[in-house]
Amino acid sequence: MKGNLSTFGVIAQIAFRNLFASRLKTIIVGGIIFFGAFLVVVGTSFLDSIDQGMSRSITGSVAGHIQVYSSKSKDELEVMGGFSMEGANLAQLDDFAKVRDTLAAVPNVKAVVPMGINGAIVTSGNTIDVALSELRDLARKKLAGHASAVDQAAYEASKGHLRQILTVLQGDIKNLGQLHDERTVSKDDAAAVNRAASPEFWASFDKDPLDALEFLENRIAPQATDADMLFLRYVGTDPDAFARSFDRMKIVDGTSIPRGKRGFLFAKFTYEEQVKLKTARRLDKIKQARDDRGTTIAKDSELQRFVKENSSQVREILLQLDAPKTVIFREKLQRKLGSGETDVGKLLSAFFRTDDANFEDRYHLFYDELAPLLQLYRVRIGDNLTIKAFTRSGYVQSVNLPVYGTFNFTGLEKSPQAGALSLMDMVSFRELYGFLTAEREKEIMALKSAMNARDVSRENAEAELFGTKQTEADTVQAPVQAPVTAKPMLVPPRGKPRTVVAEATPGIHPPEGDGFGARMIREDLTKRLYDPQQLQSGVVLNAAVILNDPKKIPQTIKDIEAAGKRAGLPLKAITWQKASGIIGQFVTMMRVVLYTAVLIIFVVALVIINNALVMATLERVRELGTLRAIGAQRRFILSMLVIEALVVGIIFGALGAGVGAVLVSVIGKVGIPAKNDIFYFFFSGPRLHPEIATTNVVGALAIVMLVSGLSALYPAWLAMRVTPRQAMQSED
Amino acid sequence: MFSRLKTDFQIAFRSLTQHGRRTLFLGVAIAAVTALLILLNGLSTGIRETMTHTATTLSTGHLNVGGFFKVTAGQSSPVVTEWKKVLEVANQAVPELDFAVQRGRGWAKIISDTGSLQGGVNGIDIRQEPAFKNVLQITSGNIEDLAEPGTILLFEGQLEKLEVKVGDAITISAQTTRGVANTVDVRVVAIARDIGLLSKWNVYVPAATLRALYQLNANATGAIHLHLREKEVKNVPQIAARLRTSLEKAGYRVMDADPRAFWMKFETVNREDWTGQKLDVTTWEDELSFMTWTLDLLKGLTALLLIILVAIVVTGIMNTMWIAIRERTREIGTLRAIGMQRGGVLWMFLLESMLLGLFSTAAGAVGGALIAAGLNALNIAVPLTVQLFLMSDRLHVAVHLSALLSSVGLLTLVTALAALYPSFRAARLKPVTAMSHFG
Repeated sequence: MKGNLSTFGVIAQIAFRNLFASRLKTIIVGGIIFFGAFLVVVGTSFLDSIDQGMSRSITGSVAGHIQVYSSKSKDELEVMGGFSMEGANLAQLDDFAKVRDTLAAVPNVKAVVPMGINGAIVTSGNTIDVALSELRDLARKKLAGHASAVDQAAYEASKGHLRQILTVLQGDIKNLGQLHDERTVSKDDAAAVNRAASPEFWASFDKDPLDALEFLENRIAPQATDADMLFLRYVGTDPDAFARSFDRMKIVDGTSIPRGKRGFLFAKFTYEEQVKLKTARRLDKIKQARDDRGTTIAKDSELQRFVKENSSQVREILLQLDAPKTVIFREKLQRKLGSGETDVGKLLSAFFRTDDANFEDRYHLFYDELAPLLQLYRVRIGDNLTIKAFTRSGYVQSVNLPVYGTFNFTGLEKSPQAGALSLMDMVSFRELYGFLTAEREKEIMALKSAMNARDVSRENAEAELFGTKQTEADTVQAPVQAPVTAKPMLVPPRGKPRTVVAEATPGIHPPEGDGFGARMIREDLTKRLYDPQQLQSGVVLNAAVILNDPKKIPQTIKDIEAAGKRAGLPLKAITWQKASGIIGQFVTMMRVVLYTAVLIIFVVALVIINNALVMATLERVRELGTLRAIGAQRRFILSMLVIEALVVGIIFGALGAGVGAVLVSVIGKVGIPAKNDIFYFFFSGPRLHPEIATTNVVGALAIVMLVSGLSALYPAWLAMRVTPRQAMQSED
Repeated sequence: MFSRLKTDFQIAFRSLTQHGRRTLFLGVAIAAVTALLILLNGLSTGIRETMTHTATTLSTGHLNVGGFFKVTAGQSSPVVTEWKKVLEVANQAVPELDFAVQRGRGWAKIISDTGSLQGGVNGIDIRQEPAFKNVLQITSGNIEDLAEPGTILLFEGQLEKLEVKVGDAITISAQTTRGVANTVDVRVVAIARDIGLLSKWNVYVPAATLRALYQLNANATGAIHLHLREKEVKNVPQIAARLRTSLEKAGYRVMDADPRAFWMKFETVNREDWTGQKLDVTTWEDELSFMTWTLDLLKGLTALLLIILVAIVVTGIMNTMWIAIRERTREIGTLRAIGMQRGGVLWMFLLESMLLGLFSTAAGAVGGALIAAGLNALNIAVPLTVQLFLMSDRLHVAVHLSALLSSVGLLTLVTALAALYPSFRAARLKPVTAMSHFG
């Protein structure tokens, strides 16, 4: 034992001496190893950081650790959305209460949140609607006889505004003719607009303003299509359970959705990105890029584009300016720019043509002095949002929801993934998705009895609604008919979606249109409380499961599926990575790419190192022979050379890993700025702060040791075969 | 002169074979790197070819004249009105034109009895399409039936959701420019094999059917796809600029060049203050910009990997050369003593290294090309995530002779450069010191 140890000591000594003796070889081999270890440490740290960032964003915002959905679904669940905007085609889980109870009994499950995810087009009100309701209020005051002088002036101004809108609309109708099949353009509509725009109409307006307003509301307003459209993805859930389970969620503006109320919460990121006045949003982005990334408008082409767009797209701001505001804007801008220009559009355009020198100044001027006069968000907290979504069976369903506020997740404020999904109550979601809610059911029952229809069970009503195969044609009469059988409507009467939908599903559609009565009914619905029990018991599409110990995901998935079988529920459980679809798999793929690259690099390095060592060995044939001659065994020579290689591996590997670790931690402090949206996305925020983990360093060291050990084998084997005689014979 | 060169080659060759083992190892490393370079380049080229081939027939021409029609300032439709007149201008302005087709653009929900999907609905006039039929592989039905109105062509991958077969009826539902929901019923007439990502969300209906869906008049289309003659494709940017000017001269309002796909421009266009028609000239790369980033990523990774590998190989070559020079110091001394000039020594070592480079890279190139051919022959199906990168559901590695030659040339040059400094050092040895050198 002691002998072995002392032999080892000698070998190590000789090995060290040799390293210094053949410095060139050591430097070359060491250099390659250094670089390899460095690369592995830095590469894996980066990927781990991206992975962790994404996993935090995804698990912390909506997915939870595990997602559960029906195993009968046609598609796989994709929480973050797949290739297109639509939600995945999932079979429903009929009774969430049962699902929740089953899951709650599984060990390691902390919380279960009901969900449904879908995307929709959302229209915020058009200008004409707003203008008409303003005028109606003023007209009422005037009729009631308590209009002040200010009101009187506002009334006239409002009329003027409407006439202007009508002139624009006349132009629009002309444009429409160029685009549309003339058979589909109703002559009555055009005539109505022409009548409304005529001086005669306005001359007689004051005689009976309410009657005239009704004409405008019913015949003209529906023709105006300038409403802004937003594309939103939202999750329908139990807002209380959601907030409890995703405990980093916090309300930024407004309040959460009150218990038992229908409502909508914007994800703050989406709210900023999509709803905020674009000009302001672009100013924010330029500011952020300059402050966080230290870039400048002069250098960054994206920022230059923002500046260009800001200066060319001033229409949105102009539309918001009434006469008094126009005066204020003109005065402020003239003073700021020192210009005599009177056209506010041109002034704004010049104002937004910022460069690095004046940006800060103008940014502050905008927010301090101009923004307070503007509506910065198209949809304000407290507004009603009309959400139109395709139901499963393809007709358009629309629901009106009050916006209660915005929310984000602590630590994930800047993450596009975490901020992609807005939130609504499950009851409204079910309705938008085409599920029958208890309220609707009641309405249908009432209608049915009124229409003298036969009684239908809830089961069949739903089946009828979705056109599934369980339909028993004789149970239900034609009124509740799947829309796919609706006639193609090339020329729908009077361009209103309700016409099409009404034919498909009479009675269960909320009244649409912008008429006063319809609006009353809709608003009434949003104020109505629902029974919180509905949230718990009804249909859901999927459920997020949050675990006590996230490390046990695979085991818990097995447990959940087993529990589902026992309870007779068709449950399928998937990890958050899978649930996040392409996004979750992307990191895995990058990892595969990195490992392949590392493998290739090390294979080539192995050959080169091996070559260098072989040559070094051949140079030392005499020395080796002499050693053999004085009694060194072959095993001694073998271990000497392998130890030599391992020592190089360990020293340079540790150096490389060390330098890599230092670099990563320095970068981790500063952070790598996300250059554009794609990076923003992968970094889960504006900056990536990579962190070094022990596993990265240990892994790197293990790899380089393996490579250096392996590459020494062949040269050592060559050296082992050197005989004392060869050494003595050798000429030089 | 010629015989001198021959002798030089002989000497270089002899030196290489004398140190067979060392040459072999280095050669293998260089060959491996060459093969890798060729494979990775083949992969990028393959993706690019698949893209240009399929995408330019399915969703874009080499050049497109698209644009937006705004009925009101806040809302736009991807429509070109009076497209025949636009086409006349394009015909005049682009003599490189091979053929032009018009395509309707739409986005709608496609609903069958059992499922639905949202996707891009392309209006197509199948009788006027020379290349479309060749790109698609029809697995059932008949593509010619797409000439009849009220028909649709689907891709196999879409059947999972829709569960339909040829002859079945499905409904397309969309919102018209007036915010009205409209539907048309269509009959499935053909089902084609998937071709990459584009077939995930595209379906084809007759142009008239799409117009009916959006209630457009007969003069409206989505875009005019201009296909250029093969050898003109590389000049697309210049041709695009020329076309833009010509359209402006003809009195059209033309949008500024914006290298994005048309559907990414809605947001910008909706916010601009104009109504009526504006045309937009885009290239195929613009329209596919949402996909070409994967290509850039792959190219970046390839470059990075190769730089690292080349650095390692260069280190190896330099190491070998150092040792070779040390070993052959006496030989160098002798050669110098019998009258060889410094340049001669330099040349000798450089030539050796170049020969090594040439043989190994050539071997690597052949190997790489064989592997590529093997991969193509295996016709490997790739998982969905990888499809996102490859734009195809099959692995396709395109290796061209030019790529082979340039890889060989490039890497040979690199090996020669790596040997430059050691050779230079060898050439500077004085004959006396060199001859008295031991070991």
